[in-house]
Amino acid sequence: MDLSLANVIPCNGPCRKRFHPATVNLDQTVADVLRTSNGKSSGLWWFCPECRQTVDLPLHYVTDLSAEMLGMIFQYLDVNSLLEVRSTCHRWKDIVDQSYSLRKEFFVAFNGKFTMDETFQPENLLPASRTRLNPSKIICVESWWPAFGAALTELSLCFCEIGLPVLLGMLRATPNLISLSLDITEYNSDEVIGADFRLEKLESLFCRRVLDIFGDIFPRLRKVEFLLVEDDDNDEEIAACLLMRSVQGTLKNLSCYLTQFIVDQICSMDQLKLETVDDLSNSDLAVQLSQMQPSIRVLSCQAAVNEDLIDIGKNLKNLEELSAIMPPAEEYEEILVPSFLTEMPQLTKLTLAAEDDLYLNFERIKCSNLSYLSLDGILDKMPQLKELEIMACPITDKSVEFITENCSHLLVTIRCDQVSSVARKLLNRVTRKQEHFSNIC
Amino acid sequence: MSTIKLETSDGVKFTVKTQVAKCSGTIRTMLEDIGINPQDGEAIPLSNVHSTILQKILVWAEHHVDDPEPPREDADAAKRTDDICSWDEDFLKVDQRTLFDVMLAANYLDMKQLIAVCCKTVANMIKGKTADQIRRTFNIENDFPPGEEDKIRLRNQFCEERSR
Repeated sequence: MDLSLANVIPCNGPCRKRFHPATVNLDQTVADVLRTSNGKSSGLWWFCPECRQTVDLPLHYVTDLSAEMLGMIFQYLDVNSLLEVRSTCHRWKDIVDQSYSLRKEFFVAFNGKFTMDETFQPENLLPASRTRLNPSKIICVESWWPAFGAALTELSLCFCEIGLPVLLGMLRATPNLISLSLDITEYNSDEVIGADFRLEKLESLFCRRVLDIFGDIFPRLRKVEFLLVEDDDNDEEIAACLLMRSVQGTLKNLSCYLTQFIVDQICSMDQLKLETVDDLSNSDLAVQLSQMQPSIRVLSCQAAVNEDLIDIGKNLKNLEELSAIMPPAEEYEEILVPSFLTEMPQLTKLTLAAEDDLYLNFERIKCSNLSYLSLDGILDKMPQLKELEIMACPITDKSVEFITENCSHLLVTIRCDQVSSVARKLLNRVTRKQEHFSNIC
Repeated sequence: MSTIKLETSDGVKFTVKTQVAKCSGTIRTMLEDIGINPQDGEAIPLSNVHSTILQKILVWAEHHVDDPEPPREDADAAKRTDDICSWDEDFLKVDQRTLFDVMLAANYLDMKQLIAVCCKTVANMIKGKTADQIRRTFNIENDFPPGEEDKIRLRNQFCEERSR
């Protein structure tokens, strides 16, 4: 069996035949002398029968590790070290630049107002995987963008002045894009041109204007986030729904201010199976949505009424994360028992906030799977709160911090083993100062 | 206890416990999959490994022979280089040449844990250094034409952001 195929190095003569590095396993002193005696040459010569000539034998020495091995070492480096490594020598630069996994944290931000026309030629551009173009006027980037864009996985255009034809030209050159953010409210030319390309890898899209062509060129979106510009005749919402309809087979994650119109549209999409929905304008809409989209695992809702949340809990058997803003207190009795939690046994993460003063009583509420609880939005609104009881439920560090800083008059009872060490420290500090602060961890 | 014989590039023969030798994926494959039978006393040739390095590697294998399979780490944990155990740290307090030879041999012998710990050690020699310091540490020739390094270093005048 030939074991010698690993770690072979090429003959540096014309044949490029590969042979074993161990053929030159020298004593270090000898190697050092040879190495320093004559720059690049090892000082050793070998007659290569293939080339039929004497060639300089590469030394089997230290940093002449194979590109593969160096790549393995570089995997352990952070971005800053990798940037130093690629300034070391040509070979190391090439190893970094040619490895997608090493480059994936490289980020280039075009900060400043550039006019990107024919004269704009960025040199020595870092082969980034992620880039952001801040307010620039983009007119023509054909000379440099294709080489740069080919490696990109994340692209963000913020408040750029750009026409649709130029944008499409840029996107055509970014076949590896996974995430695209278009923080642009107006295109200075929206001449409709046909698109002869598709970004099959694009999963995530953020935009403020939804263009008809998006459905054609982004066929496999998993996540969309719309921050729609306001208009009177609903055009943007219609366009957003058309896009969702065209990608309903892959779409899982929706982030948008959801109105009745959008919810109605979503409910009519047969193949759509949403998992994350953010953010519903009221819990009535959330109930409607939960009936049609039982696959939702993560939900965020404003104006969330306890009764609606109970229905949502019944409809969404897989709900793991809930973020809800409870409406003003006057709709409730003085103290609200968030009984909806008993309908959500799978819940692991809960964020509650209140629009106004709201008293919550978690007594007899069991959430056995909860691993994250944030009440910051509720505690913020309750400067007069005198008593807080948290029984057998984990509480976030931020909440504890808020309690200890702002509610010095507060009588807090925490019965829970799942308070983090940071929170414990904070609580202990307050306990010493406040005699009426009881704290049973 | 069963043993096998290994023969290094310089012709030295080692008698090794089979279990220890199997720390090497290469040897394990040869014994288990290809069915090389070491019972007949013939040594397995390791034509890429020098005896001084194999000796060192066997010390490592002997110490780590009972290690459990490492857990699958997520990407962030996998980037850590501060988790080298103190025994390994002492073991790798060697000159660069030996370190790289151990690494090459570990690669040839397919010993993933040893490769990882070598890579981490070298990575720690790079971390926090400037390009020039790295060159001096590893005796690397600066083969950029004068001025080009500065350009690479600047990347360009307007758009660098070094990290997240």
